[in-house]
Amino acid sequence: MQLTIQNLGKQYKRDFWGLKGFSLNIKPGILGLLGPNGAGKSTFMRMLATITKPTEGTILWNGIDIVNSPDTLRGVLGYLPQDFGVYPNLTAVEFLEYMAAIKGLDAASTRKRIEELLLLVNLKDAAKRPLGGYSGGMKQRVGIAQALLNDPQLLIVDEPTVGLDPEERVRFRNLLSDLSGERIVILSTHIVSDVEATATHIVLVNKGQLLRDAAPEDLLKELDSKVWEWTVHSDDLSVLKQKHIVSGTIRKSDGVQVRVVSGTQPEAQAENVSPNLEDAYLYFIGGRS
Amino acid sequence: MNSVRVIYHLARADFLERVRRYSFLAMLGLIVFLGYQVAIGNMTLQLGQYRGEFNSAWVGALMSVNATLLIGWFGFYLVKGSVARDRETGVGQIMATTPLTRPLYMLGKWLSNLAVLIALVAVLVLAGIILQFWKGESTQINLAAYLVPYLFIALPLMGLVAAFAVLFEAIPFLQGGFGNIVYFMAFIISIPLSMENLTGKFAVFEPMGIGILEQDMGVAVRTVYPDYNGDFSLGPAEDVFNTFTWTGIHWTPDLILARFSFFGLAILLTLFAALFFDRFDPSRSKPRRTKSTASSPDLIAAAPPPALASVHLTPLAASANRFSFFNVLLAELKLLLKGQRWWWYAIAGILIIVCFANPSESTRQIILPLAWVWPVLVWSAIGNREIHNNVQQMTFSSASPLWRQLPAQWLAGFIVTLLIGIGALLRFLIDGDTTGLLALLSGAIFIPSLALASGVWSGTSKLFEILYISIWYIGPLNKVLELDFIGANNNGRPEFFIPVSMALIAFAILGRARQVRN
Repeated sequence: MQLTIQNLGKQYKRDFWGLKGFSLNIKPGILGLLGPNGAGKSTFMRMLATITKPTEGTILWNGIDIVNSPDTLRGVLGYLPQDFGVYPNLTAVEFLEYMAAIKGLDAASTRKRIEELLLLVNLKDAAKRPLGGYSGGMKQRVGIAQALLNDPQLLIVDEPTVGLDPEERVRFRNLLSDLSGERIVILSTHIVSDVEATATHIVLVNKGQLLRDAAPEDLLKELDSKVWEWTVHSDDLSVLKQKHIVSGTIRKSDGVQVRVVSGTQPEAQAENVSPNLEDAYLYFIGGRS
Repeated sequence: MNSVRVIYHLARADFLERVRRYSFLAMLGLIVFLGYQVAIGNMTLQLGQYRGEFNSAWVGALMSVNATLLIGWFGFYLVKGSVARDRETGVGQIMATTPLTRPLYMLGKWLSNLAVLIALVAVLVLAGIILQFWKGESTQINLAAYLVPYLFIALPLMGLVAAFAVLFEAIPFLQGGFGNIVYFMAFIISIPLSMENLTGKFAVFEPMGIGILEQDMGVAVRTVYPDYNGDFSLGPAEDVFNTFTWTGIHWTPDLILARFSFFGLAILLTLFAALFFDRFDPSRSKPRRTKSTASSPDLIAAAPPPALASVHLTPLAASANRFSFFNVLLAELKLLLKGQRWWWYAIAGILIIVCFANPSESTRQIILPLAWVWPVLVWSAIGNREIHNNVQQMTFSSASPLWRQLPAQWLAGFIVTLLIGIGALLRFLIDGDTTGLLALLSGAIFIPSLALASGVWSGTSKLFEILYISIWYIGPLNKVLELDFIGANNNGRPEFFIPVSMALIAFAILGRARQVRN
């Protein structure tokens, strides 16, 4: 199972590329796509999901070009868009039955699968009520369920935890980890902790360009000896923020404990600490790489 | 002063948002087409066998009447929807958190509607000047005489149309397709009604302004041709005309005030609409009645999540991936029919029974046409439901969306059409009315085909609602045989409507293919 992306690009206007020169080789596991708003993550995912046609480049699913034959992938694809709706008059069960039918699942498997999925996304009790009355988080969970209907080999989830409460978010992260064994999961988000908890591989994207493609540990290794912590007076904080990448602050009785990403020791009292993914994100997206 | 500023900015933003949409461009195209139709004589004002010389006053009046009829009628559908857009985009909820009052918001929307309609009329103003030079009967442009009909005849009606659009958006049951149909029928009916009832000195209060023109032009033609029979029509030029010179209405302050009183009425209607406007408060929207067992109509609360014990999914067997067209068809049928209230089914049932219980002749002429207008809002969702409900990314990324889902959608529409016509079908079978049967079948093929093509290409239900009701009204109801797809007044035209249906289906496939491979 392999997804190969070669020199992928999407041009929106004559002088504007949403994505350019993207090349990746994705194997089973969870790929976390990280990048700021407008970085090109959703464009990339929509192209993978066969919804948007690339302007240039190829996407190969097990060696087959899915730009030319999208149905090769669609049968094994599960996709949760960032922004989606539901049919308000259908119940969750009816909506999932509908999606199962158009995904080509047989009736017997559908029934059992929907039952399990509703349990999984914690919608069992609301399953027979019209979706029009669902809250945003509940609709999001219906979206997650539909993406998993056909037991996809490629699961693409765009900002999946938006609108979920913390408990549901943890549940979903665990689910992704459980699912990732024999399939490719592509998870796009700018909630770094979601990626940190699940991803086996990380791709950093900014301004339509691929910045880094690495395992989380390799990414963190690059930041060894580059993350510092010390306590400053609260009045000095704004000056410090102008000089360095501040990845965290904690108020304390003797001032503010700051966490800074910097190639050199910023202050004499600054102590070197272990980096985390948020530090790495800020470091690379902030253009200090 | 602050209120004026608020209304101005509301209207300005809304106006700019709308004129940058493709639908506005499409309407502009339609207006240019209308101008062309006027120029080639397909939309001419005729007073019996006479017409006015193409001077500035006549051209201005001619174009104004065309503006009132076409823009007044179809412009409504273009401008209606701006409150809905604020609701759908979520902008409305942000606005609701500001000190903006309901009347101000409504007035802003009215002004923006009016600005869009005026922009359309302006295209006809330019076209009219070209027309006058092209006709060459009078090359002297009298700007005042030319512009006055637009100002006093077309614009007041635009004010009213803009206000009706706001009113229809504020009243919940008029917001959707039902409101579109109500306006369509009301506009058609109001033209002859107001012209018949508002005559003499009250003609000025006839909203379309046709009455006052008819009266004034009638006097002018009678002074030259005393045998003028009083006929007044707008349509294709029929006979060779004798011309007369008409220099325009002498607009007295009373007349102007009377025409401008429509703006007052429009503002009153807009303020009236504010009474119904929910200010984007979902709790004020009437909840749909469903079979839900929940006692509260509010959002359903999820059960408290159980402990985070993980639930494992059973892997699907490879054999589970077995596409069944029948399952998709059933799901599409459910989507089409789900959400209708019990009385919808009750009336549909009555129509089926009445179709069956009556003789073939009256079923064809009256009952089947009535039965086949009842599900118009069901059909109008075909082809655009995915876009309307924002599920297209999920459905179009499923396997073969073009060849699995689209045929099922069409077939579901066909089945619903046939079900509503089943009483008539049985009646024709029993009576041996094969021509009626053939016409019914071609109609049943035509309706979902038109719905699918309109829905796929426009992405909304409006286009089908307007197109279908127009064809239904002109063809089966008004006996224009070319458009009688039901066979209400003759044997129908299966030889025309079946090929047209095939073309519409092909057109829909093309449109969906474009959507799927964006």
